[in-house]
Amino acid sequence: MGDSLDGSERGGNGETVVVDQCPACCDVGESPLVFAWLIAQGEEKIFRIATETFTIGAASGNHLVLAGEGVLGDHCSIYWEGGRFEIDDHNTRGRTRVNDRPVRRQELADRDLVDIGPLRFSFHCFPEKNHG
Amino acid sequence: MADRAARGPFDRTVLEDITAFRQARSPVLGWLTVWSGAQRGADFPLRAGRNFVGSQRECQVCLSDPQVPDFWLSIRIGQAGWTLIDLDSDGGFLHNDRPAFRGGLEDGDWIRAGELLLRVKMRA
Repeated sequence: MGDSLDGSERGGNGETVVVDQCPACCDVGESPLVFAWLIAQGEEKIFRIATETFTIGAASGNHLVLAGEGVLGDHCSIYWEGGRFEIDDHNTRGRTRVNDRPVRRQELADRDLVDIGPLRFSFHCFPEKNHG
Repeated sequence: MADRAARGPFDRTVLEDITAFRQARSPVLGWLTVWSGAQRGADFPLRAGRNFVGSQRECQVCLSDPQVPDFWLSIRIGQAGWTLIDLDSDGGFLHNDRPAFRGGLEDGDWIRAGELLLRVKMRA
C-alpha cells in the first residue's frame, strides 16, 4: 500500500505519539485535559489526541498529516466538547466513515473504527466524561 | 572450577533480564495517563508483562515527581487480567478512592498517591 502516515510520529512499533501535548494547566479553569488515541491498523502506529480540536488531512499544518489517495487536505476534525468526542467530516463525499458508515458529524465511542480515505484507525477514549 | 579461574573480567557478563527487550516489541495494550502532578497530560504505553511505575529511568512509566519511589508500582498484564501491585511505599495508594496495596484493574480506574492522580486506559 502506497499510503503512509506522516506528521509528528516518533516511529512505529506501537510507540505512543504525542501530537500536540496539552500543557500543565486545567486545575483552575484552564484548558481541559484531553485523552484519546487513534491507532493505525496494520502499521500499529499510535497517535495521541490531546487537544479539543484535532485536525486530520493531507495538508501540512494538520495535527495528523496523512498521505494517501482519497485523503483530502482538510479531511476531518475530531472535537472534544462537553466530555465527548465528535468527528466532523469536511465534505469528503463519504471518505470519512465510522464503523463502515459514512458520516457527516457523529459522536465517537471507545473502540470505534474510523476510516479516513483508505486508512483505518481504531479510536480509543475513556468511556465516560473525559475530564476529571 | 579450573576454567572459572582462567576467565577474564569480561567473561563474567551475564544476561540478566531480557524481558524489557521483549516487552518493548510487544503491542501496546493500554495507557497510564497522568491527571495531576508534574507530568499532567502525559500518557505512557502499557504492554504485556510487568510495567514498572517509578522515578527510575528503567521504569516503563517514569515519573519525575520527587515523591515517587524509584520503583513504586507494578502493573502486570497477563492472561488473568490486569493487576496493580505496590512495590515500595509506606501507605500504598488509593485505588478508586480506596486504600490498597494490590488489586485488579479495570478500564478507567483511578490511582492516587498524594498529589499524583493517574488513570488506566485499556485498549481492548
